[in-house]
Amino acid sequence: MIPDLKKVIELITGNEIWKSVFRHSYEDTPRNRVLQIVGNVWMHIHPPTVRKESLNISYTFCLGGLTFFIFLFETLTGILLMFYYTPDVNRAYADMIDLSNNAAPFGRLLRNTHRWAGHAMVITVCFHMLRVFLTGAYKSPRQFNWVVGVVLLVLTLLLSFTGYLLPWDQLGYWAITVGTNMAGATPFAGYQGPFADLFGFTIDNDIRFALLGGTSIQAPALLRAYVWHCIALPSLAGGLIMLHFWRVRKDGFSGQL
Amino acid sequence: MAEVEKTEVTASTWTSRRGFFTYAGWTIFLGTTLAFMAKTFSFTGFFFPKVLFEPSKKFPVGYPADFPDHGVVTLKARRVFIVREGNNFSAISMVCQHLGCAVHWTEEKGIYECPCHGSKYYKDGVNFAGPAPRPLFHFDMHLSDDGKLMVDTSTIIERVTVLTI
Repeated sequence: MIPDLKKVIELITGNEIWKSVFRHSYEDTPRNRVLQIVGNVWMHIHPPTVRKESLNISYTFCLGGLTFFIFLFETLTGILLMFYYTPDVNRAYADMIDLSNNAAPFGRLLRNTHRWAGHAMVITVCFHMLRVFLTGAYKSPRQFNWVVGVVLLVLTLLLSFTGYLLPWDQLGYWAITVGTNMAGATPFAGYQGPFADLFGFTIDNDIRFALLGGTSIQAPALLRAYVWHCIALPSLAGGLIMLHFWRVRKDGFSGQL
Repeated sequence: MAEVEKTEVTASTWTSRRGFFTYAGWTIFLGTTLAFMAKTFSFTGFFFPKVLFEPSKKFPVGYPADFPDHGVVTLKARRVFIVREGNNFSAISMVCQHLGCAVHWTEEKGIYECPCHGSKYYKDGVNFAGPAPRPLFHFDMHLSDDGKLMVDTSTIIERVTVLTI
């Protein structure tokens, strides 16, 4: 005996659980079209009406959208990598090698795409900035969003920088050595920088010391890079991305869009 | 109408009981938050550890006779070169003066070279090429009671000073 399809659908979509999640039917009526737009979760990101000119891909090349997509991809693969990576000096490199040898399903794919996507995000965010600059989209009333964008660029670079140490290999180790020594030469903050003597900065109380959690790159530095990379910086970037999108939505697209 | 206006004015004034507790509550809340934030992010705050678990800056490197004459011995883990010229010993830092990479001794050229940005130093640690702004550090040395060479990387001495045995 074949059950009546209409009755099955009626049974699924007619009960209270379904109706509490889906507020209107899928039937193509003018009323449902409006409800799809107005009651949509992306209402704040996407305008209810889209102008024909904004479908022209060559104005933005969707560079900001690409950067956001990569950010989501990095979050997803990063969380999966965290299940198999230990931020410990005796384990970190071995865990990374194990992942590369597929000790976990998709291990090599996860690690390699996470790294390549990290490089790609720096590239797309720079091209996005270049596009905004060349089209003059930073001008009034969008100055504040340009500033938010610059902070997001810095956060992207910091995410890239902190992630560099996590494999605990020679490349990352010496890159962080060089990078934190540059921080040690910051004016008014580093022990090798200008005015260090005036403020009494030494190797064990300056900005480099606070970044590394010690006077040289040891276990605390790896742990700090891990926490900044996995929790603090992505949270900050996520919040600012929301602010960034909200301002785009409120200020309107630039140019003919 | 006049009665309503009077009530509003009284309620919004900080001299009322409700106004006082509103101000007091916010002051305590924001003050406590600010104090914790200040201690967390300030100089010598949360991000400056009070105890360090790092290798000792004073360590023995071996007996003087074990070091070859006119030779440079690389102690990789300690980041230090031991240079012997006859009876004179000096301990030279491996840390490049440019951005802190580890320089290495190139025997055939008789110089120290940095792999990161190409700084070069003579055997006595004086820089002559690349971006390095100053010579490599020389560390204080002395003999321990059992006759071993001791290096103290917390004390930087003048380049011409050597330990003569």
